[in-house]
Amino acid sequence: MNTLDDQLLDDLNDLPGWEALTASPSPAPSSEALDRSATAVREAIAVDAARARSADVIRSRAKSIHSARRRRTRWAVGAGAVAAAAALVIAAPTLSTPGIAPVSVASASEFLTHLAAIAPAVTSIDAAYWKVTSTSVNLANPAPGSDQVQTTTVWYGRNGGEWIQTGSEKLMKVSNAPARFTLPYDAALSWAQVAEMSSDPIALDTHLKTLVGARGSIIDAVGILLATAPLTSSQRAAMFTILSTQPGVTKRDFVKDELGRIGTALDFPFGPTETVTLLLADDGTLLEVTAVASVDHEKVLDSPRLVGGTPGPASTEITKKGRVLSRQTYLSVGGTNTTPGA
Amino acid sequence: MDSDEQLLARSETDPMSFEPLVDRHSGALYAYLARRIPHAAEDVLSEVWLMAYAGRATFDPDRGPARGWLFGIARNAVATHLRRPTALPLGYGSAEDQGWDAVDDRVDAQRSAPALFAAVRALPDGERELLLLVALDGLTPTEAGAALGIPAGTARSRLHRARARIREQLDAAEPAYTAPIPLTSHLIPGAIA
Repeated sequence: MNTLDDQLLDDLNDLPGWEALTASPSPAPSSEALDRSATAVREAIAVDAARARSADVIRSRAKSIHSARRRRTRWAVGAGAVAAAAALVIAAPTLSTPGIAPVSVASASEFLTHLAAIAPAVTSIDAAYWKVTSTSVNLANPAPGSDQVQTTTVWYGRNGGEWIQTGSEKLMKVSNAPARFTLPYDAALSWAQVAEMSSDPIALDTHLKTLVGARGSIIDAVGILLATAPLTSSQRAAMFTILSTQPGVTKRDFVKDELGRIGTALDFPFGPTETVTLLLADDGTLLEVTAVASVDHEKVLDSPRLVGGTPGPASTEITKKGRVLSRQTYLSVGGTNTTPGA
Repeated sequence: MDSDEQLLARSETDPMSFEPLVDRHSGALYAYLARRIPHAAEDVLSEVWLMAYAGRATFDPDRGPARGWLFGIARNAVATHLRRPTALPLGYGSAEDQGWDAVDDRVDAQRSAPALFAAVRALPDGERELLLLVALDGLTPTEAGAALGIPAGTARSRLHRARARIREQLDAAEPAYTAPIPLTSHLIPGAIA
């Protein structure tokens, strides 16, 4: 309080009866009312965080494509297949030269095995923050009121904390808790847990399957971790090995991502959708993940209600084979010691 | 401990910084609401906090302290509530009255200091509202000004005016001075019996 306020209050205090007026009892809120207010604010904060997260490539990818995959038949990846692929790593030839377009090799499996052999660690793995910048577009289910294409940067703090900046919005700290690298179906790994992950393909395969559960997809889990997590060289190699054992995967060379970068696309079929994972052939850097409808699909929409409650005509939404449902393009991923937003 | 202003500024990028404000000010805001809209105070308290959280980026420390800003939001919430068709019981004044009739019933001064209370009641709306924010809600003149969206200097001059009006009315209401009769007067010959 400043001096002028003090003087004025002294003057008011001189008024006869002022003391009685100021001493009037203050009604007190019930504990339920206080709880309700605190809860309302916490929920508003959570909604804000969820809104920011909904634009985040990492999370929206997992959500947008998984609903379409629930009905798919899961392929069992036997320990034998993983072990065989792991053995192949040793014999994999070097296929590409840095900076040069990838040399076509016979199969997706061979390409992934090659990547397992050469996989370098991601940069600055020991930094204070892990920073992921990506662009997402969710054409199948765009967030209400938002632009379809959004660029998001997420900072994960080694010592805790998570920050998100979406588009031109201000940087927002959304968590003080230890950073969590999100996997499909609400599974997540802390930074420490990521660091502790096995680099043995069989053990890693088992671990990730346990994490994502029966409903989850190990391919998604591996894809998200390859795209976003601070992995060592041997961990990345193990992940490429796991991918190399997946059946039905096809490979296309010289495919451009949204930024015009050329990579090798791997098409992972999943029932009504397929995931196109675009990798830099030189080192396996994950450039882009696209979910595409692999069959024509017709969905009956809820009937709109007209004024007066009269049901409107039913309508259907037709998704044609080849339609892009969502796309996530990774602009930059790596460690940094720069404080978020600085 | 971080000031309210620091927490509000930080909450723009770290929303969780907003939470301590709820603990700090819910009691005072509830009291403000309960004096004006007693039947809806608890519901409106939540609304106030949600409005404050949603509007936290609009807080400008140059326009007054955070506490005044919060009471300004509460004031708007009261006005909004009173404008609802079902909000005003029969016999209550307009929404612009800011629930003054409700305040009447909840101020002990009506009984213990009726002259002051009558003088406050007679003040112009703007001055009365300022005075009550200071007297009942414990705001400083600067905070009360911020709550009403007026500069601190304007708030102080209005309060000075209000004080002068009250003083004038109290003086006018006092009975004419009568010289006390000395206790010993009966001892004095010719003195008033």
